[in-house]
Amino acid sequence: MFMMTMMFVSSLLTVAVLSAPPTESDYWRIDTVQAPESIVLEAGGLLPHDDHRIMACTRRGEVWIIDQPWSKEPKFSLAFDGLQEPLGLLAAKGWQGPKDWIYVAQRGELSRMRDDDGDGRIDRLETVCQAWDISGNYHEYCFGPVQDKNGDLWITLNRPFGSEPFGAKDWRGWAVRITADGKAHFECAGLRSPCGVGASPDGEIFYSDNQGEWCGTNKLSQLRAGDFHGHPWGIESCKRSESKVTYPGNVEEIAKKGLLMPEAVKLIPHFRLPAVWFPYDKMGQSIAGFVWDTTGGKFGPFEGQVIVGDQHHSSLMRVALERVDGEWQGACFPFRSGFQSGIIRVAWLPDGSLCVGETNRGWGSRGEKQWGIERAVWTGKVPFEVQTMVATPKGFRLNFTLPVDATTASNVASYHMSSYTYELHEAYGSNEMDTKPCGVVKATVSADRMSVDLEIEGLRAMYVHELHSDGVRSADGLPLLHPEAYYTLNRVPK
Amino acid sequence: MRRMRLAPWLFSLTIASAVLVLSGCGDSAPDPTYASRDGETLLARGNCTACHAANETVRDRIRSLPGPRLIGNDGAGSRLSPDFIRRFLNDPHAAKPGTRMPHVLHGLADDAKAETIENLLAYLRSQRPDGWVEPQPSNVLPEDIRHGEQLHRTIGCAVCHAEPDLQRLAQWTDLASMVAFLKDPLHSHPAGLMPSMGLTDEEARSLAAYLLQNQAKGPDGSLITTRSPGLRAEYTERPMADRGIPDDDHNATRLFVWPAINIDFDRREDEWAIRFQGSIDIPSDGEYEFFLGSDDGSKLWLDDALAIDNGGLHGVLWKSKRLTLSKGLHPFHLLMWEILGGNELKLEWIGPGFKRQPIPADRFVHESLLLVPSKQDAVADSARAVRGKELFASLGCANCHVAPSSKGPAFAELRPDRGCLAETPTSDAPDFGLNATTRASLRDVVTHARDLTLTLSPKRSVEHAMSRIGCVQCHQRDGVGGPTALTGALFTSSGSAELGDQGRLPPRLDEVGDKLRPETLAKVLGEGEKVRPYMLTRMPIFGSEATRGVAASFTAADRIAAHDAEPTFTPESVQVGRQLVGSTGVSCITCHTVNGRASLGVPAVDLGIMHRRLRPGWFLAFLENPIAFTPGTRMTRFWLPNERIFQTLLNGDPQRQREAIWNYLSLGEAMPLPAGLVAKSGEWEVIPAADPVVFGTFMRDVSPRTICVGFPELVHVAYDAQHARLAKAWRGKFMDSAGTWEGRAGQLSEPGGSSTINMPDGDAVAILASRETPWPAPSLVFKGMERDGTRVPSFASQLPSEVGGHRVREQMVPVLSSGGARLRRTIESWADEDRTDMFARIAVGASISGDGLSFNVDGRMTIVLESKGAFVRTIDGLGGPTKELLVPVDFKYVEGETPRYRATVRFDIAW
Repeated sequence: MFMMTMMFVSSLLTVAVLSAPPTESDYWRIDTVQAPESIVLEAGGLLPHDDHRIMACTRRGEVWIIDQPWSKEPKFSLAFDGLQEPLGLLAAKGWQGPKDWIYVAQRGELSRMRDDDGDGRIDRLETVCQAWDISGNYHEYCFGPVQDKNGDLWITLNRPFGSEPFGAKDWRGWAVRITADGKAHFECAGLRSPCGVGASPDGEIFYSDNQGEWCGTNKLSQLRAGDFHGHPWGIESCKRSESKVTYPGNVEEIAKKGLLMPEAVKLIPHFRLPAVWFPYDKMGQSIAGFVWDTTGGKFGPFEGQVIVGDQHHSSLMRVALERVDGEWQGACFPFRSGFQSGIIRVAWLPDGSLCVGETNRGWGSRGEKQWGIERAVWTGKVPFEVQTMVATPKGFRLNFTLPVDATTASNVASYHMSSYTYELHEAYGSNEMDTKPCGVVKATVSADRMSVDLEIEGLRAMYVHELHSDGVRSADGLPLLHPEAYYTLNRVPK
Repeated sequence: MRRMRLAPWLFSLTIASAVLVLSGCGDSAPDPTYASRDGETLLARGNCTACHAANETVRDRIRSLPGPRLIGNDGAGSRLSPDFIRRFLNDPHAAKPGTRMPHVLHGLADDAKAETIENLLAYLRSQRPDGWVEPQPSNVLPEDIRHGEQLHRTIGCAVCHAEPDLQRLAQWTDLASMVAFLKDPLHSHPAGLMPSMGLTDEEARSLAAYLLQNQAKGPDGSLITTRSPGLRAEYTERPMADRGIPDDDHNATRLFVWPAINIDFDRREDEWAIRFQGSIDIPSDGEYEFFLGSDDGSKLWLDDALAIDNGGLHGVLWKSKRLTLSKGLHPFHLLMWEILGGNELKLEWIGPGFKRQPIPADRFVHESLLLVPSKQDAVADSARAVRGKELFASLGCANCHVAPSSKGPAFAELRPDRGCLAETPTSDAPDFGLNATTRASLRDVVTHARDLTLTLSPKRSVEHAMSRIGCVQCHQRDGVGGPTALTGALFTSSGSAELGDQGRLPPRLDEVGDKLRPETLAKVLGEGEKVRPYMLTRMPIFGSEATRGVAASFTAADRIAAHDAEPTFTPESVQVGRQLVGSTGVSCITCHTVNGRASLGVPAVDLGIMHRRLRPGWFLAFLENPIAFTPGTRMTRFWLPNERIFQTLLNGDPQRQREAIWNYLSLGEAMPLPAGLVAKSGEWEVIPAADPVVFGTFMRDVSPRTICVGFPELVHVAYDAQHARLAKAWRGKFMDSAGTWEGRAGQLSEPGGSSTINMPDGDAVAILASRETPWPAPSLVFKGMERDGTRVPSFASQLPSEVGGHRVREQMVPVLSSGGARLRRTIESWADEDRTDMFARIAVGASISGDGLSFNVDGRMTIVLESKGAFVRTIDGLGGPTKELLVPVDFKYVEGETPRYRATVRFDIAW
């Protein structure tokens, strides 16, 4: 026994790690806004006001301005109240008059608001668009707005869940584009619980959807006019003249026995697969808001990637997207956990830190606080991580944030991969279906030791490829901070 | 001294005890009318005028109390055991000492009596058209009996029923009948001698279990526990920490027996826990696997050891455990808690020879007490029932139990030594079981029968009513009645109220007619209104029959304060009153609650109900010198003679300061909160404090886009953004936000206060071709909200372009006035031209009357317009002709504005 222990200790010494292995908090620090007990900061929308103020709207319909949010005693002032479950704030560029209008999504309307006299309180709220109705169901949330490359605003409409006391309404489970004249364009159907909606740096619109009926697991999808995203709740609205989506047929009937994704794509017209699936529990449980890292490196080595919040896990995840044959797909990775409450909104602060708006009301979260605002700040240290995972005709290329140890990185035994897909069906969530192991045939380290080409046996299009790179070490002998990656291989590049 | 041992049910109200209670009371003031309180009480309780016809004046004075209802579907035959009925009819005074039921059959020979009783019994039992149902044994838990005993001791039962005769009660009836009786005793006993104590279902069941506990006793008198189907369930509601409730926390909100493992019992959505305990019956020796699935957490113990820990906050999550178990009973304990979101509980198993399945209900047992009612030794006999019916009439039973008829000699002709009043009642007269004292009282009153034709003075009338109804058991008036050495200790207060005797003893009723408004007196007497939450003893509900006219007697009997008019109301005086009531003034809120909000100290009578209940003259005089009214009161004397307090308020004028408090109290539930009372965090009530509060919600009967505005003046409005209209206004509490803000929320909200008024559907303004043009279908579209410097919102809307595209803005603000704030509504519209065809619709109702500026709508609201021109027109409504109050919108040119013409319609709504 003593000998065994000695051998173990010496093996540790050989990789030159004497202290405890680094953790997420060594790389990204979490700061918390210290709010008085009386302020219920269920932050549904965040808008960094300027370099020392944040505006936040809450699920209770209040709008707060927080001055010096990261100081010991931030100053809170109530700018407005009486909004209906506002879940997003946006200072839209070039829209309808003075630029100090702030756009906010409420359950029943897209509104804009303004502080006329500059006293810090909002004096005026105007209805911009109210082209959809609500039935009085709690689940009829409205998320957004975000602005696309043409300057139009997008919102997503949740489906109701349970009683509809004022009668069933059209356009539930839809993505809506709103033009500057206040007109609504009903672009995509089949959304379930689209808690996140975001714009890429190029102004393309994506949304995140939550696992449940007709949504096997959480996902991130692009929103393009005419697409159907799988949930049949609101498809009758396709028959209205304003719809951009052609009626996809009786989806409940077509998918009655459940369809694996490759079949669903074939059988259901306009059915769009997500760019990325987030395997349930492995990568969060309640996907929420997301943003592209446009900080120019201020947030760390993931410029251009998507940082995604998760409510239940109270965590941030990371997505590296790429375009294959013009379609988006990519990999998701764990990034930073340990927030105080469930994250539903993320927004960049001017200093390149990432502000998160939190609430766990109604759904619970690992973080035990019920609400709050925090931020993740890069400490300046670079973690050893798979920076991007890129599909290749024969497998995947892993680009690392730090040089790898050639011995472990070229050893195929350092990697383990399997693939699976999901089923489109009415039951709540989907198991991982048709799971098969993938053979890692060859691992080739690049000359600069910053990437590894993996040759994979058994690639399957439209399947998630789950990779564990537990054996890989950095040149300094560190294991990966997060050895797992989940690549949604919609298309295999030629 | 031996405590009186009397039968429950009717004892205190019996003829014998009435005299016991009253003897020794001081003499009343001289009265020109003959008055024997004792004798007349005996006449009333004996229901003498049911047989001995009396004229109306005499009847009104005596107020005879009818007997229990025996006939009908749920009559005596279906609630009392045959054995009891036989013994009761055989000799009521032996079967139930102190009963006011006379012995009617005492003159019959034994054989004839037995035959008569069987016939009467058959008749009573034939009343149920579906036949006699054998009473079933009932399961109760030992805690039920303990709870019942506690209720009996604390709520007031024991004041009249000192020591229930459990042995006898056990033979009378079954649990279900007893529960029904206790829940609503006035139903079967309309006289009100056994009043309703306002029991909940659970309380009635506990009390009944306590009274019938001997049905579960063995020969040696100890309670026998038996094994019964189902599990003992402890349900609790409370805020749940993320990990549920502790394993050993047995603080239950409700305790009951539940047949199987599921959560179909009555419960709320979130934040509750259930604990099932008992035994599981393992069918055979072997290996079992248990599967526990729950949302949120759960734990299972078998044989007192933790078998499955499925704790935490999660969706449906299954955990399992394999165990080798022997055939037979094993202790079973399952705890499940729900924090939020969905909820589910399933327990399944696999065992020797069977597949996975839910554990069947018949596998669960628990220890309980089985109340077994006495055997029903009787058979239906229609021939006997027919004879019984005849006897019921001929013997005179129907006189008391159905309707009076002149069976005996007329009241005025009664002789004090004959019939019922003879030393030994004659065989044809009922035997009331009189003793020397009661017989003397009755003989005395009968001797003076002619004097009973005189109407009693109000003071006497009150005395008689208090003795007839039994008020004197608890309340003292003019030195008569109230707690005695025997009963005093039965009056207790809840632990937290440190109010001394004032917090536990029922109030004295001296000069109560001066203190309480007549309608309050009627409410207290008729409905048992209870305003002292700290007193555990309950004011009983005697019912309308017993209390008819009594409130008026109190008012007529008592000296009413000289200055009983309402003082002059001004908003300024309300503000002073508010200051004085608050912690900045004499601080009434140190002891008194305010519309249900806790005081800073003890929970003395709520300030919000005082104006409604009290007479102004009494209140002002009481405030001046409380101890002169209530000796020993804890109420402070704030205004000492020749001293001025708070001199900046109304120059320190004591009378005007006290009037200011009264004016403030006159706002009732709409009293703005006094300084020093703050809403506690974690409560769901939204309380407008400094600025108006705006609250977006789904509102019942309005729309899912309702914007409510709460004002600190406690008048509030709901604006329907979906239909761009003012929907409701109300006073008092603004809003319980739980349905909108708690958990996943999504409940339809409702106005928090009462006195809600609904505004007419449709647009507030419209363009009409003529004054006869029907009001058009709604077309206003919501455009947003503005907040002025005081944060009062106004709501913007717009008519569609095809009807002019006019902008409209409306604002509602409160204006303080007597009885609460009024609502001032301002509707503005804009036009490019000076048009004269736009109208505002002020009100719609079945009837609208008024002059040019002031209109009454349906007698429930008053509209006061700022300017003239309003007119009422009749339209065809859904329920017939309907009135509409319209006013032409008068546009005025406004220099420099676009559009150039603006119109303002302004009016106040009072209700």
